[in-house]
Amino acid sequence: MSSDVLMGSLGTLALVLPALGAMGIALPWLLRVRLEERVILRITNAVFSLTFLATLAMDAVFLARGGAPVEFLITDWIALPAYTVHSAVLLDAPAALIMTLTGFLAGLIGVFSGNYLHKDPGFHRFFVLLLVFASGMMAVAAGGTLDIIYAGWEIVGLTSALLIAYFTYREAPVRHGLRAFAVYRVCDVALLGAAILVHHHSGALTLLHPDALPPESQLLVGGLLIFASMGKGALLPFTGWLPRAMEGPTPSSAIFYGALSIHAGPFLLLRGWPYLEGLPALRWILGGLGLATALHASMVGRVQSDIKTQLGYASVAQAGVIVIEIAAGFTGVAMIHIFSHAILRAAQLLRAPAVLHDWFGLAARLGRTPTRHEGYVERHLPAGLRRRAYAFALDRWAIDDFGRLGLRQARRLLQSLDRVDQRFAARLAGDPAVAAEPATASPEGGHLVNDQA
Amino acid sequence: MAEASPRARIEAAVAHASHLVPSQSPLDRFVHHNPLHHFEELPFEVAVERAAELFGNAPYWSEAAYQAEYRRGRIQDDDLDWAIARAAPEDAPLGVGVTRHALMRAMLEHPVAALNGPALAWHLAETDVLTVARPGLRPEVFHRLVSKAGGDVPRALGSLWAACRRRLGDAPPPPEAPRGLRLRDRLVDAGRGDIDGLIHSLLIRWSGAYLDHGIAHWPMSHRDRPFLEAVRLHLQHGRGLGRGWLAHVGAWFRSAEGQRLDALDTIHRMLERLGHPPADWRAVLERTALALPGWAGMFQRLADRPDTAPVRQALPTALADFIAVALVLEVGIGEHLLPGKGPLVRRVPAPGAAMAPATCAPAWLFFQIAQSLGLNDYAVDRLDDVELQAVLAEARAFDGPRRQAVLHAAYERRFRVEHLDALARHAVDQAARPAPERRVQCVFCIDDREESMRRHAEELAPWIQTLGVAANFGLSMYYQGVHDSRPVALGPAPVEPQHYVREVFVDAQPAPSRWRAWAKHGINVGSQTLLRGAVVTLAGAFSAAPLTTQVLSPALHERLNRPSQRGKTRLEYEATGDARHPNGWKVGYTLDEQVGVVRRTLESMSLLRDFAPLVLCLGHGSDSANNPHAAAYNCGACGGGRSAPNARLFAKMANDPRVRERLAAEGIHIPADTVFVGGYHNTANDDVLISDADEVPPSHRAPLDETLAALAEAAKHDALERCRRFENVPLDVTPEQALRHVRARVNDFSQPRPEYNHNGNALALVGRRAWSRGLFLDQRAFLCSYDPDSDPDGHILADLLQMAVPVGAGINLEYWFAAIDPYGYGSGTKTAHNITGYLGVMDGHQSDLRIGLYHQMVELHEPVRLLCVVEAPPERLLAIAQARPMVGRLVTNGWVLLASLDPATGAVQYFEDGAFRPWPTPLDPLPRVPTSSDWFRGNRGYLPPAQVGFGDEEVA
Repeated sequence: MSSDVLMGSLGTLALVLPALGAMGIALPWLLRVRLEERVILRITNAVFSLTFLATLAMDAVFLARGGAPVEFLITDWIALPAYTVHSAVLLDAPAALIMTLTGFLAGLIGVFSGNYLHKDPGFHRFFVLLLVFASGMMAVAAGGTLDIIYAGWEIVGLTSALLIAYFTYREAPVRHGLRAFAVYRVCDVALLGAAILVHHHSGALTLLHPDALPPESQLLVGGLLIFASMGKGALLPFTGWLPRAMEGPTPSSAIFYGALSIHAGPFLLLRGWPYLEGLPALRWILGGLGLATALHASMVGRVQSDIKTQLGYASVAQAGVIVIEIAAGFTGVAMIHIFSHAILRAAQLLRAPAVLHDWFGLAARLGRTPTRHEGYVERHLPAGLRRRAYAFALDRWAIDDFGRLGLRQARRLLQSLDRVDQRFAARLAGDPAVAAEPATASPEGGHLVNDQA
Repeated sequence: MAEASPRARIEAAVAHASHLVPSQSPLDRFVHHNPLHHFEELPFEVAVERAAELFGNAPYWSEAAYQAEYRRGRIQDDDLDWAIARAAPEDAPLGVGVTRHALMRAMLEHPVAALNGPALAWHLAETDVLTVARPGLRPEVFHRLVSKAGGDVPRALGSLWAACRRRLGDAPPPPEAPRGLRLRDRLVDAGRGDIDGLIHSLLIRWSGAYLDHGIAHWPMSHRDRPFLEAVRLHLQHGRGLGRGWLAHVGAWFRSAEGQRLDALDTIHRMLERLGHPPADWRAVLERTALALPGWAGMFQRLADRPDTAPVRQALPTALADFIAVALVLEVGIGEHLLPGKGPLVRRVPAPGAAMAPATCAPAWLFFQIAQSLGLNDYAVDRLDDVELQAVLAEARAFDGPRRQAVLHAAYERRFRVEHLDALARHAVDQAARPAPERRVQCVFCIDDREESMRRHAEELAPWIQTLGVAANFGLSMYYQGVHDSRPVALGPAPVEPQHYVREVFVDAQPAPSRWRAWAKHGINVGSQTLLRGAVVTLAGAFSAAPLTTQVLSPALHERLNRPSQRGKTRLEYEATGDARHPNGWKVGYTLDEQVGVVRRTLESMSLLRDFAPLVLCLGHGSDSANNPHAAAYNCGACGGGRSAPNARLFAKMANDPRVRERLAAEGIHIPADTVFVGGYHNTANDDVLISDADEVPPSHRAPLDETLAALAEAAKHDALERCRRFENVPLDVTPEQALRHVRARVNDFSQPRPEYNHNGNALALVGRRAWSRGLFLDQRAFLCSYDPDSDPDGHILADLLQMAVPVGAGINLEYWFAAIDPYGYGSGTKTAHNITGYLGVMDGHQSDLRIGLYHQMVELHEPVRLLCVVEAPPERLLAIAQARPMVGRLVTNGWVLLASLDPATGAVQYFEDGAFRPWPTPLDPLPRVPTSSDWFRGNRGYLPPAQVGFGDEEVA
């Protein structure tokens, strides 16, 4: 067996295994057979152990090959005379890195959650979603075409939103899950657009050959990829959903917003690097976005007084730095940064409920109460300015309000388009009554209720 | 009162609200207390319902939950009959063979759905209520219902429904919904949405920032000023940025700047702008505070007890400031939503179609009752109008809350019957048994978790006599161990300690190397900043190793990270002159104070003679790796601290010859060869450790070692008994495996249930151990040693009850309420908790500060009030209830239940409706087993009492 096939098979195995595991739990459940917790844990642990081993074996083959990427065609998904959608995996350094990371962290989170969520009514749901998510993440990492990546991308988004809304009996988690989902959808449109554009120009095309595209399309695809990465990467101005995503159980927050999901954004940029590399204008914009996000998140994060929001903003700040690194062309640094940051942040988030314990433990070892307050740089600001800056940071730069304004404008625009549409249809149908009647607008003030924190 | 100035009225209203908000301390000083502490003046049932209405919580479980308990036999028929007879002492015929009690019984067994209007119409049209009889009808009832229709159920039900409609007509229109009080309530009524969401999102952020004790890198400025002032300084520049209402808030704060308005003035101004008449002020302020009770309560608590804060800082918190900021925000939003002139509440448009309160259409109510009673249409038609209305009135009066109360009374009665019967029976059997020999005395905390440990120790080593005392051992001190960064209060929570005691190394110690801790701290903090974070997170892959060991092998992780053992320590507790700690506490105890401590403690456990040569005094505590509520697992008598230092210090004092000499003068003779040894029982991993072991004289080494070996064996069995409650531990583990399991469990940071804590608590026994020794009580009983022989005038008992009843009731009631409504009185599921400000937890990203016990902690708890059985004649108990209002209030209002155990005969009398009545001793023998494990092996749930160690005699 050639090393191409071996590596491709191992990668495909890592991609498919978690999904099979999810089916192993979900199918009996659909048939009203509720598996015992013990069985679910056994399935999950077996699947993640195998997945992690497969990724390690794949890494070994990859290194033995001297790091040459593999494009491995599994099958043709859709094959028409002028149009083919390949099911292909592309296994290169970024893919191997993210896949190994996913196998490692998802496995540990699975073990952790077995205790943490013991006896929880959503136990089944959590593990199905965790396994599905792992497959989605693998598809994003290993996808050889934008179509596969898009499929994985959607799975990651959906599982993420469903886990934010895990505690369905409370209002806030459901609202914040919906919010994350909405942001994802807006940005996903760009990824879909990029995939369509690529197909349009080349019929069947893998990721590594941007030169097949005419230059202006290349610019457009690059721009769309950047926009697509902004949602999951929580770049400005889409940052607001991420701290609010800390609604689910702690392990899901750790794997999604500390470790994997947040890095899907930067990873997409690494994947699209061939499109971005030759376009300095796009790279400058990207760098600016990263910088703004990093500054925003670190400033806002500094004033947060609860541990999960603080860690959420810390994650976003580093995602911003990683984006800057990519824009500057240090893709290797960015890869290491993603890998290291994911592990550290996941560990910190998992320990978030123990922060009180750690704090007193630290105090005992230091012999005094540890404090963070001594070194903050803002104390050098004049008092008035410091207060304004503080209020601005606590207000999260009023980002949510701009989003709200934008949403309101978008809604108005859609409503007026709808009116035009209705009038036109009525004229076609020859019904003057409908043509004259304006569409009903929602009462003013109703919006207030839905946008709290 | 009418002429009181507005300021005084507001001050009084805030003071009123301050009693209603929860008084939970910051998490590391968590102490169990009755969540309805301020309702104790009322009878329990009244308070439960009133508080449920005020806080919007459930008064009891749902009817369905009790019906499930009935089906599994936890509630029995005679419990229901007893509870019904208690709720309605007089039975009376209501017509066609139906009596009041039969009607109530039918309504308890078959839930009544309250439906009216469109909901009822939908139910009739879309469900099978008219074609299928109610589930669970007894065969004879079902037969009466359908026999006339020849067994055709749809026809029988159809004609019954027609008869009900014919006799009772269509539903009257639902009554009008009451109008809301606050501006927010009125906006909700008017269909404009809930502005509390907006108010709270800001209020929570600023409260969190103001009360933060060290999580944020960049602290809020001006925290040395009141909350209102600090917020004003920050928000006065606000121009809105897309939110008009913030501009209104900013404008108000700018205008307030020069006026020197304090919180009370601001509240006054806001109430006027809102347009509330003074008569409503109290209610408005109360509801404003209770809209966010956790945060409001923390402002109040830190004002009442600043010493409970995790870091001492001058934070002038006050509830008035919190309410003032909430009102300013409410007014700002109101001005934005309701532009115009005049008071804000008048600008709210009239409410639209309000949600009708849940009522039940009479015909529908009767239709359901008729089925449960087996009345067919013929029987309904035969009732005359007076009878019909009488039945209907009875049924209406027995509404949901009444039914829940009766079901709960029945639920509690089953426990009471089971355990009072067992105690009465066991007392008789015990009286016939000889007292076992006594070589060692082990003093444990009265904590319910020590019940199993004591029982196993006595089973395995019958020469051990166990005693129970509150494990603060008469001490109330600020204690600073060699590893503590600050002194912590170790003593009963309501008392602020006056003494300071320190642990020091005996030999000069090399300065501990702290680089590792600093490095950890630096990495942790640095990783969350921008530039340092970029560097730190680039190297973050190294955290993969500790993460892996933590998740996969908690025990290994703990071993790798355990701080290295350091040298011998001693307590510094001798007072020298008038030395004072900088915080004003007395340093150490004078000899007089030491004698007082030892005497009071020995008295309170009635250990005044018959000292064994070795007296082991064990404090207790509980380890866990990931548990914000860890303090709730520690010693309740030490305000949520570990009581090891108390036991250690008490032993030191009791061994002191000077103290013994003075005690002898007071009539307490401790033999010269008696040695007290302090120690510690870790209730989570069942470790038993000894302090100052090097000071034990050689003569006592061997007995001590023998005792420790026995306790180590008992610990294994204790672990086994506890493991049966953990569902992920198989039921067939050996004691050794069980011990290994609980040891790994405490170090596991993924474990939300390090142990099950006070889950069983339901009983308190105050008396000699002889009455309860050998009785399997399933970790459900607080065991308090008391010997009436050494207390002729009853003052020891009075002091004991004064201490033990409120502590026991505090634990019991906190569990009771959290088990009844885990999301209202409790803090919901732990898995969503998010620590804020090192003070408390929120749910997820942002919420009220969650107060009370979390769901995983109380999931196995049976909510029954504490049943105190005291070895004293009824007259003495009544006298104590008179003389000690703190105890009397709880007992007479039914917050704890009381029974007396006769010191001579062991006969039981139960206190009910203001008087003691004899509790008949059952004739049936109790189940008997040779060892505890024979009784609990293979079972997960609660077990009834059984006699342990009686096996041989049964054979003989």
